[in-house]
Amino acid sequence: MTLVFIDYGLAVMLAVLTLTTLFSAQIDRAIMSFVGAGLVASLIWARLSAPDIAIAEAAIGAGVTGALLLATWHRLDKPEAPIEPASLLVGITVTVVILVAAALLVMTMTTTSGLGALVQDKLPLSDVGNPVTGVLLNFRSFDTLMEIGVLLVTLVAVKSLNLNIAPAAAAPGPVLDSLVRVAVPLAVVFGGYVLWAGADTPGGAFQAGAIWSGAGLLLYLSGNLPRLPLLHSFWPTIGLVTFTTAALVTYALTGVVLQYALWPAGLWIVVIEVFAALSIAATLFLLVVPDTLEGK
Amino acid sequence: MIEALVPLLVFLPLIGAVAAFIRERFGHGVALMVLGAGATLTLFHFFTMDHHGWTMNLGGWAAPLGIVWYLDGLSATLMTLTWLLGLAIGMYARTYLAGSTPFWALLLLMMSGMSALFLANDLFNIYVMLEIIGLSAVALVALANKREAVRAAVTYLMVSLGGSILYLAGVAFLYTQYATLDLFLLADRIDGTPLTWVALGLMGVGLLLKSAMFPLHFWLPGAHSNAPAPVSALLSALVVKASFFVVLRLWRDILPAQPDLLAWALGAMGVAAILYGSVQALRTPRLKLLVAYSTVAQLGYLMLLFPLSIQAGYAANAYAGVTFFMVAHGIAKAALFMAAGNLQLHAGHDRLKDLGQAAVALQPTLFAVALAGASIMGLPPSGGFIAKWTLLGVSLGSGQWIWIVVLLGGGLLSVAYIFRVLSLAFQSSTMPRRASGIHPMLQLVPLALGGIAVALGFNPMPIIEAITQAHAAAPQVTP
Amino acid sequence: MTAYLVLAVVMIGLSGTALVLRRHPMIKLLAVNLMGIGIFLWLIAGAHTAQVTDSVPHALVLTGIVVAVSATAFGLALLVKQKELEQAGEGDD
Repeated sequence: MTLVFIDYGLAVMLAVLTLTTLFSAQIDRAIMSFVGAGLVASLIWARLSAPDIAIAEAAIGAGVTGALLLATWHRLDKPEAPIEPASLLVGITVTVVILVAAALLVMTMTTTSGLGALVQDKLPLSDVGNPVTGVLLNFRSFDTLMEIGVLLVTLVAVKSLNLNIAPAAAAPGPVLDSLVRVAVPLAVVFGGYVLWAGADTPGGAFQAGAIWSGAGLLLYLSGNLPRLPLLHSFWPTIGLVTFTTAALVTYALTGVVLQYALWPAGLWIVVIEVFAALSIAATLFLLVVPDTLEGK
Repeated sequence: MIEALVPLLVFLPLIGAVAAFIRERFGHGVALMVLGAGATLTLFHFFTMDHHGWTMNLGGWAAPLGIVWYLDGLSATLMTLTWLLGLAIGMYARTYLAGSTPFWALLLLMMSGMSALFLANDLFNIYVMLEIIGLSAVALVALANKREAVRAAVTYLMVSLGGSILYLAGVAFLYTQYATLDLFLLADRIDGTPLTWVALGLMGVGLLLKSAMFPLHFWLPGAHSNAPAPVSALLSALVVKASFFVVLRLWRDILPAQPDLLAWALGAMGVAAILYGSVQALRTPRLKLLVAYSTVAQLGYLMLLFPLSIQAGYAANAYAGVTFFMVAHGIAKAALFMAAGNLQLHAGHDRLKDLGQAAVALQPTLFAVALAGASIMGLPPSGGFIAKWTLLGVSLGSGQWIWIVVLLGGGLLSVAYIFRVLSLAFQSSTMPRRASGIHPMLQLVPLALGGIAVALGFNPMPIIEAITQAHAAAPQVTP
Repeated sequence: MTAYLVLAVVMIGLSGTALVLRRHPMIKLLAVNLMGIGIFLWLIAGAHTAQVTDSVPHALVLTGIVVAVSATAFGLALLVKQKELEQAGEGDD
């Protein structure tokens, strides 16, 4: 009974944060509200029995996106975005209309039982225990392959802009240093666990990649990151290369793209996930601090 | 079996893009090899296969669990167009953009995304492809590295992201109701609930925004005219049509009904696009803007599909005419943007009134404009003529006389703005300097494309037949 | 879970409104992201209503989150680039 109130509370919080993000006159306030909205959203995912998404939303949606927004915010100097009263009025009218329409639509909606039963039924054939991993890396693996392609597009695109950003590394201090010494190894191990466990429990390549990129960012911010000459090209692309190779090899073997053969599906999936996680970590890291892209 | 090589159209450019990213210096070499292979493959496939629809269950999983690829005459035609133009644009860009540039990696990523988009029979997979195409397109515009270009790129990015996210909202609304993302399964299950129409409306608006359909065209002139010439050619000839292809698929395969009112409203939007785009093209002082506004106008003809396809018995021909139009316009528009790039390169600017000298110096380029222009105007025997002739036939047959006026009137308007460019040849009284500073390749590619745009009209049957075959095989919305 | 479904539609609608009304590109980017969260909420709340939780929407949302962060990263870099060019160009005109 009380749990229902938690749901309503979370829903109201997310609604308020949505409004303050979209209709505040100060950009920094909007960014803060947005990061807050991401955190509330990850609580909602946990409530809706979607732990995989809760981890990803907290790490990527709120974490990496928040870091990106804040890092960029300093470099732009348009502190205000005034709202004309007229558009506020339109906004309020639209809100009321949408609310009514939403309630009507949801009440008249016909729902189905979804694909849950089918996924459960075929899951043993996918050779993994976590149904989300099964969908991502077996049933709908082509989506995941092309999504790693999206990451590469973004990286090439950001690199092509040739930004001249001054390195933003903080001066190393005793606090940061000891934090790094504790947090980074922990994050590396935890990321590895999330990746390994992802086959059967919540977690997987995306969550692990996000956690590793966080560890990399900590190292970078404390000035402890050695310049890796291979960083620029090898790590961000190895995941896509592995996945594409898997697609071509499986096609050559079976005549069907990504129909795992020769080795158990689980083995294919582990190999793809490990390299994908490394690429995701490297790409997310490079997207937050694109200046490390400079100098070949 | 040539069909066995189809998956390479997706994966070869992906591998090529990685190579071009790792070693930017070799980007053009890798890209031209991939583009050459892809163009050969698609051409060969187009002319040797029948087009009843080829499918593959990716991962071995049938829908609704898995993602299905589906290649029919419609997608095969656009796939072939994409790779042919990709190769032509690559050959042009090899000379136009000397030195190492991220252009090649971005181009290859886009080719992979477009191939996969044409193959996709899955609503969410289409979303991922739309993002790949959209993000790489914006990055390509920003390559110009000038203030106006980056400003246009920011607007383009917002439009592109906004368009895809609206599409995704519609996909989510459909999935919750029908528990499938597969277009054909959806065609069986879909019914006209209010939420379904909201979903289709969101998807339609998002996709038409990405296709720059008037009045959602506002971002196109800036983005297409400020980009480097090969990029402009790519965007105007192909990218706007990729999202329109998805609209076609939705209209043909999954709409629960094709209401007359909606069809006529969409047709009216097309008429507005033709009028507005043509008038702007007549007024603008800049050459590249003229060509960009001509795209806004020409895209309007695609919207005639909706009213023309609702008459029983004429749908197949309406699709054939519109697809043929996309092919003819794509080839001619790529040629026009390349020609505009040449004139700009020679003169150092693109102000129409001062381009006379450049036009006289670059006679092959101006001849390319004449050939491509003939197709845009719809003069016989060009590809543009066949497209309009087919659409005229459908208008006559189905008794929708109003579109005949539109087709003829729009043609006259395009004559007027194309002659603004052609008349440059008579503008300059002084003898030109020697035609120096322009590589012959830059003139050869648009000339060849102009020639193809005209030659398309000599044997239009393979394309027309491919589309009508595909139409017979695909699930239909019953009118 | 009706509350979440209604909230999802409201978030999608409001973000769409802000995308049109608000001029600042940063707010537009945030609006796209929030519309994404609204869509994800719709999918996950919808998947939760079934007797067996449907994992397909979960996978779609994970993919969507990664696409959203990519697009946002590029958008922000583009805004920084615009600022750089505008600063460099101030002397010209």
